[in-house]
Amino acid sequence: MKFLATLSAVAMLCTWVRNITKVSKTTKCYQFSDQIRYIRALKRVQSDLIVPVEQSNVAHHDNPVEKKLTEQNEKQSAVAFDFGSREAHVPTFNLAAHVNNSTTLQQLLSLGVDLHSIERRKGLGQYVLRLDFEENVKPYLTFLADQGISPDSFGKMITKNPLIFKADLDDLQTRIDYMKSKRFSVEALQRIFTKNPYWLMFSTKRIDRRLGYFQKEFYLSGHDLRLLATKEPRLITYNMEHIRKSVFTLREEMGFSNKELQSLIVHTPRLMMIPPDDLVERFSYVHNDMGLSHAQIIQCPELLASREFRLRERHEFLKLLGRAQYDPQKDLYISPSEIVRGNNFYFVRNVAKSDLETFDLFLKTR
Amino acid sequence: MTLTKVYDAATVFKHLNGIINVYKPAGMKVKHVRNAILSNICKGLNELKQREPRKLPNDMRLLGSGAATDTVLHKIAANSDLSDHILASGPRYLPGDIRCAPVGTLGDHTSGVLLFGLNKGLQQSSLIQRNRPVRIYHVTARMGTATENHLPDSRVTVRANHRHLTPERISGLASSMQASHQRKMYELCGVDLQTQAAYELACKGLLRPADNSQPVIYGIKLIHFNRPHFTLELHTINENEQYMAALIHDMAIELRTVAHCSQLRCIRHAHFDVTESLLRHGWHLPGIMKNLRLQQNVLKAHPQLLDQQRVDLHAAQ
Amino acid sequence: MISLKVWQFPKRANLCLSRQYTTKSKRVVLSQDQDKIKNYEPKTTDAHTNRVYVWGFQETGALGLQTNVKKAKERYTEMVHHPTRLQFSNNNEITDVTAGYGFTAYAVKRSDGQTLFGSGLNTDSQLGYQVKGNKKDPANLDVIIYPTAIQLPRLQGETDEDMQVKSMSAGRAHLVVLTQNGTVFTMGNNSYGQCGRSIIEEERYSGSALINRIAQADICGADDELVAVECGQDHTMLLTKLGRVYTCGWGADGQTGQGNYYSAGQITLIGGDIEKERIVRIACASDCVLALNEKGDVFGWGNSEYGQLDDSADAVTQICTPRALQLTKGLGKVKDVAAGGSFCMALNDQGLVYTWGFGILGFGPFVEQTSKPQHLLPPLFGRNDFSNATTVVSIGCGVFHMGAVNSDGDLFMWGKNRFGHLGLGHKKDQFFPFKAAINGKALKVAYGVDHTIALCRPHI
Repeated sequence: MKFLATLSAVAMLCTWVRNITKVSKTTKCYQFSDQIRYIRALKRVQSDLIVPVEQSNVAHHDNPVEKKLTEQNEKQSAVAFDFGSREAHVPTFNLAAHVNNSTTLQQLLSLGVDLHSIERRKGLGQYVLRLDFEENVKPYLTFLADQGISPDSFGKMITKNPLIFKADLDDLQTRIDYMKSKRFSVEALQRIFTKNPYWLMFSTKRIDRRLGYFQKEFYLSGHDLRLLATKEPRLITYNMEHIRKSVFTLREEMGFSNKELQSLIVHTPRLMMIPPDDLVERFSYVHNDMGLSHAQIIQCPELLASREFRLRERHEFLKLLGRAQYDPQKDLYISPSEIVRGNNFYFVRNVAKSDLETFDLFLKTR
Repeated sequence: MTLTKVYDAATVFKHLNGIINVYKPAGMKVKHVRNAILSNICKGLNELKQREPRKLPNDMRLLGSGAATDTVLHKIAANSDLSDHILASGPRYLPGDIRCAPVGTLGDHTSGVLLFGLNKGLQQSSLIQRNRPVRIYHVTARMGTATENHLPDSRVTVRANHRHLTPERISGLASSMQASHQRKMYELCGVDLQTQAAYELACKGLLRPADNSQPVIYGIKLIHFNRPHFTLELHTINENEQYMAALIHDMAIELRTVAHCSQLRCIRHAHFDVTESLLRHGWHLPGIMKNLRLQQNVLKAHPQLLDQQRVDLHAAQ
Repeated sequence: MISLKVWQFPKRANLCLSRQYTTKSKRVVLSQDQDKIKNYEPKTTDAHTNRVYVWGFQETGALGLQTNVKKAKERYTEMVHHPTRLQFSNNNEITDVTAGYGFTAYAVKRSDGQTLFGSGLNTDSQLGYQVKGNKKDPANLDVIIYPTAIQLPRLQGETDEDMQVKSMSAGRAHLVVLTQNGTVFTMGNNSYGQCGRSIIEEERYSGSALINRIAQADICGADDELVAVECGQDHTMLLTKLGRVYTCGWGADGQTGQGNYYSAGQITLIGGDIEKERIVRIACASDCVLALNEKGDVFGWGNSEYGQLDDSADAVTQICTPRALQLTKGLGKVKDVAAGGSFCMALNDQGLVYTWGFGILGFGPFVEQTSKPQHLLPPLFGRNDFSNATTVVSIGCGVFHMGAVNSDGDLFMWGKNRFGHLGLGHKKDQFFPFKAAINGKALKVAYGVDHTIALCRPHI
């Protein structure tokens, strides 16, 4: 009976907290000790609790903007929740409740770590809460700084991979040494770790196996392999099945030879991360409807890496204007890589040499 | 009302009410369009100036030294409530905070005018939908092949010769179909044909169907013929994509060939035109706010959109 | 363009894949083998330009749909409510149709020289001499259920071309046909002299092989030729090129317009107000006749019990001399007229249809009678925001119902519907014009008393 009561109390508190954070954007917040009394009483419906003091926002619709701003500022200087003496017994559901009390979290916040996205993933919130800044976090940050990674990117890296604090520092060092032995330059390593924080979580054996796969599959030289890994570090820690499927598509279904495949991969490693269905769609459009040969596609693999609707829109616009000329021998040649470069404005102005209104009108006829 | 530049997310959010007219790209589901628009709005709102984190009451301070010598904490103001910080509690605006509902759906393959009602505009959008306005489509058919579901994304079932089709034949059939549909409209208007009321309604011209689920076509006209494609302009109510594709197929069978529908485009929904709809590259916050204003003007110009349902129908609506 | 590599996909689909779909479905489409797709070759049933739709009362055999008497008895075939295609028209080239009271005649173009076919009631030999059984003891067919040939007597030297029908019309129990070489053939009942020959007392018309042949020179002289034939209930009228009208038959209501109320078997020229006029159209379904001259003025004679011809208080109810009508003045230039049992119609050059008289006039269930012609609103005939150039191009009526054809080829019918002869799918009366669903464009519509025949051009 008591268990059920606490469960329902928990549920109600949960919705209450959510409601508070939602409502607090525009309404005035005030002391919550009386509201906790309500929850403890377990009798009230949620909607009764959230009664803003004044609905003054609605009344001020037609006033000029400046007056509203000042009013907003006044409201923002509201006070936070005060649990009083019951603090220790209030259950919490997010890291924000602990930020005021925990130095670690405050330090992480100042680094720019997005606690909100960490706590959404399973178990990470609990883990991060138990970290101690001096003991757990600082050694790793110094380690990373020693590798030459700029502190500005710490926030992003920690947000993506907080479990790095679990790894053994010696292991990390071994992995770094391994990478150095494979003749990865210091800048390359910096770029790799910044772009793909998960790399350091993989043991040397796994990394070695994966790098070996790429080298054997595409007959890459050491230099090419390093280039590949540096260009797209996420590839090495990507799901191998997906990569295998995409490679199969590229090789068998689209008919690229091994040499062509090699140049494609080294130029745009991202192709292997695209789902094979999408690849097939884009390739069929590029090869059949745009009429580009395999050789031309290899020269600008960005075509396969851009979304199909964009290719379609731009190619058909060029066709409408009569400028869809991809043969370098004839005049009015447009390099296919120009098609996908830049946003719409750039494309319309510089490549199609037309204006946005025409492009809009064209888009509305599709 | 003069336009002022607003840098404040809360003001913008408060004014995010009304109806927007969006150009739905073909092949995209309405659900995805809605999600894309809402996430773009939130992205835009989160980039504007947000409110500062709350202040702690004076008797509570942040744990930790809080002194100016602390390298980390001196950046944070002394009594701001960090639990309200954006990185701690998450972005201020989430797609779930904005209420958005489409006014009538479009099929997956249909492109064109799609109306959404935002926040306080939901009531307007439901009123418009309740009035069942007429939608105008440009349907392009490709002669000579028939597919499984009459749309281009399924297997080809049959092929046929279409050399004998001329624009005159298609328009002749189209006008006969139009008259037959208008006759069906009388039967659907819910009035017994033997009564005086039916006569008076018939004198008015076009009527709305009494049932809200039966599609009625008021006008079919051939507007473009370019072998092997031809385009029809359809004025209809209560239709859906499958119905129109099947219509094309049936028309072709009647004309002793086969065809499937290759392009469906809604160019008008009541008085909301395709000239004002927002293209994909404009689905960001400034674009949407501008669109809200424009559509508000349309609604002001035609208040009968929100009126109660009437029985007679005019093409201009 | 295509490289020589291994391109695993079979011959690519040439669909205009201009839309974005789920990748899975597109894969399915792309991998479809093109060589296995079937070719659709539809059977085109129409070898001929026209097709005939029939509907109405079927017991008389006037519709000509059934081919087997025994089968006809098995199914419920009393009425045909919906327009049905006549198979006979698929096998033959039909050029003209006309409907009488319970029978129909078709003018065909055939290689074997037969030019006239008929189906329906044959109790007065209005469809010629039709017998069955052996030659020694022939049994006369009183009802013909499928169109059969009517043998027109030919003179030596007359070709098939000469025998083609120029115009024909049918009344209650007689049929009058005008051929290309100007010969008038009349068959059927002659109790009132409507066949153009003298009345023989107690003549038996059933099983009679007599088809009267009259050369046009005998009727109108050598310098004029006949262009049209129109039959009322029991009288006949012939129109010439110069605009003169010749009549014969029953005149008790003055419908012969000869100035008396006698029946006459002699075809005579009529005068009255039309003497100096050039008449271009005559219309009659029972006993009220309207005539139209080329200027658009309307003349009438015959029965006027319901005020069709004259609505003044002291009007004569039977007018036996053609008279210019006062009540059609103000309708503008009239392009077409039609006269039914108790009402009349007129179509002016604006495309407005005027009706007056008594009966279901098309103004709703409350309007039963108007003395002045009133026009029906254009939206009733399909003029609306989507087709605002649609006008009515021809009108016609039977004894109890009316019809109009508009510029898109749609047929609108209204009136009494006791035998489902409006073609709307039910037997209820229709009080305002309603479109009959015909799969084609109506060219000519023949209105009988309980059935309707439409000659149409298909869409394809």
